Parts: sequence; C-alpha cells; structure tokens
Amino acid sequence: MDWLQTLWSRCVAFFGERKLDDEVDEELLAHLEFVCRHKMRGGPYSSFGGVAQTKESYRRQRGLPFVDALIQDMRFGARQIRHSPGFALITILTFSLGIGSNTAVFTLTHALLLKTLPVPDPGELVRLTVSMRAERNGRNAPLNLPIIEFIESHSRSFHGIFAWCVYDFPFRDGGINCDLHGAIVSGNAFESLGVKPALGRLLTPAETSRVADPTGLAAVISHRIWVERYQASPSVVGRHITVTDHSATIVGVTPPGFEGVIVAEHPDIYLPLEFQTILYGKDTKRDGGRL
Amino acid sequence: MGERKSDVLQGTLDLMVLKTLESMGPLHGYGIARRIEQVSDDTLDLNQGTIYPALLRLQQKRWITAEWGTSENNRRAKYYSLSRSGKKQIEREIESWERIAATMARFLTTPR
Repeated sequence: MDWLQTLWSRCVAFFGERKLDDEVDEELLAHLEFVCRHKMRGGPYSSFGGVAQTKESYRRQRGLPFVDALIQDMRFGARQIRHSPGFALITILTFSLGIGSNTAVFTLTHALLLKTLPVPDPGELVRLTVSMRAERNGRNAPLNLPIIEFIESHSRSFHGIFAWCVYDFPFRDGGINCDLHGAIVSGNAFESLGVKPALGRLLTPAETSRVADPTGLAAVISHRIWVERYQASPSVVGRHITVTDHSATIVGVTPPGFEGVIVAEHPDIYLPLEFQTILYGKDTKRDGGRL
Repeated sequence: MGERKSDVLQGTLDLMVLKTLESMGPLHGYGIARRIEQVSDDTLDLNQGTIYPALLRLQQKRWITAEWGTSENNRRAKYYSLSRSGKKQIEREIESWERIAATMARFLTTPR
C-alpha cells in the first residue's frame, strides 16, 4: 500500500505547490546556514550539490511531474497556435480531412468485406447478377421472371433461389405520406435466408404463385419504421396501406438489425414479386435485377 | 579530498536516514546529513542535497513525519521523526540489506 500513500501525497502536493515551494526554499536556506556556521567553526568539507538541482529532484519526487509536463506542453501548444493561427488552421483542417477520409474508407471496408449478414450461415449465400444490355441501358431493367424460373428449374447446386430488387415506393398510410426505400422479393427470400419475423409473418413462397389481387397484396415492413412510425405497436399487422397507389396489407415486421442483402441499401418495406407485374411499365426507379 | 570516497549506493540512503532518526530522535535535514557523514567516518561521498528528496520519499510512505521547530541557533527548521510504521520498516530494510550483503559476501569469498 506504500505506492498508494505515495500517490495520495503526490496528488495533495500537486494542488499546493506554491506553498510547498516556499517551505522547501526555507528548509534549504536553513540547511545552507548550518553549513556556513559549520565551516566558520573550521569543520571538514561537505558537499551539498547544486541548490537548483536539489529543488528540481525534490519537485520531481513531490507532485505529479507527468501532469505538470502535460500542462506545460498544452500551454506551449496554445501559445504556438495563437502565434500563427493560419498555419494552425491549415494543420487542423489537414488532420480532420485525413482522419475523416480514413474513417470513411474503413467504414466502407467494414460494410463491404468484414460485416456479414445477420442470417444463419451467411457464407453459404451466393449472389447472381443478370445484366441486360438492350433495355434501358441495361441498368434500370425490372426483374426478369422467366430467367429466374429458368435458373431455378435448371440448377441443382442451390438450396434455394430467390429474387431481390430494390425500389423506392411512394407510401401512404393515413397521415403518413412519404417515399420509402423498399425491395421486391420473391416469396421464398426470407425462408431461404432463414430470417425470422419480429412480429406477424414474413413473405412466403405462396405469395409468388397467388394470383395478383390488388387489394390483398402482402407487405412486410422493417423493424426500423415499425418503431419510428408505428411506435412498435403490435396492431400494425393487418393494417391497410397504399404503396405506389396500390393497396396492400402489412403482414409482419423483419427482425431488428436485418437490413436486406444488398450493401448500403436499407429497405423499409418488402413486397412480393406480384407487385412487379402491377408496376411493370410504370416509371419507377429501379436497381438492376438481382437474384 | 585526497582519500577515496565511495558513492551512496542506490537504496541505501533511505535506510541510513531511518536508522539515524531511530538512534538520534527528531532531527533536521542538516543534522541527518552530518550524522550520516560522521557515522560513515567521512568515507561516503554524500551530496547533502540528495537527503531532501529522500526525506520527502519517506514522508510520502508515512515512515517519517515532519514538523517545523526551532533549531539550536534559533532558526526555524523542519524536524523529522520516525513514525510507528517507519520503525517496522527499519526491520524489513535491515533484513533485506543483510540478505544482499550476505549474497555479495558469498561472491567475494569464492576462491578464484
């Protein structure tokens, strides 16, 4: 416990330096007076060492020299900044830009390479991308259902194949009137990913084969908007909403943390493939078809 | 200054100070320094100034206490005295010093 008492003494001394300095001065002065008297009486030589050095090593032993040095450095830094504010400004800007871009790069690296989807066995997922050149510069083409069905019926390597396509939907529900970022997914998407609902149910394979009924389209909302817009109310299941001027019914909520399968896209509403046939021909913003 | 003096070994000054206070009672810094020089028969190269950081170190460990008093020549001086934990510490320090000395002695008596 000696070190603890030493630390305590040092801390106490740190806040009373001026008074303690005076005391040391007086003590050393008394000592030197003793030495003088001793010499005058013809005593043998005794060395004291430098007074300044003694005080310095005394001070190092006494307070918190580390904190003292830190304060001195900070004062010095502040003085330098005041002295040449232009240079300081440029330095600070350079630092902030450097740190900022570093953070951005590593955030992206984390999202693209390191973070895995919050689903069971994310390593087993494979992404197939179909690029279509002819139509709409090959970019904003809608999902091509025949191609999906073709792959599904001819491949044997996959446990499940699902379609996933992101859109922005004009969304209306009573007072709420906004654009929602969403995705059109095939009915087996959630089942293939192994995602479990936070509330109600998610889209099922039956959704794909069901004959499009404009009043009964099932929609799943994200956990985020469930909390933000519906105050996490359980009565949200069965609610009628309007998406791109078509009515739909909320059937469930995705689990918290599930942000879809495409990096940097955070869908807030999921609609079944049928919705695509309803939308087809309408000019909505679309990402390329992804399977 | 023709004769050779030995340096104060690291860690020995504390014990010398404690032992001095034990045998002499309360003493000011100069008195302690003089006493150490006398006991060592002036064979020790003691910088009297180094006494003060050592005294502070011992105070921080609560082994000695300090008090302002008046010296024999009517001057205000700080008097140091041994505390109870300091007395106990002397025993420990002596023990460890004897261990080191015995080890050194064994090395030095080993036949070449």
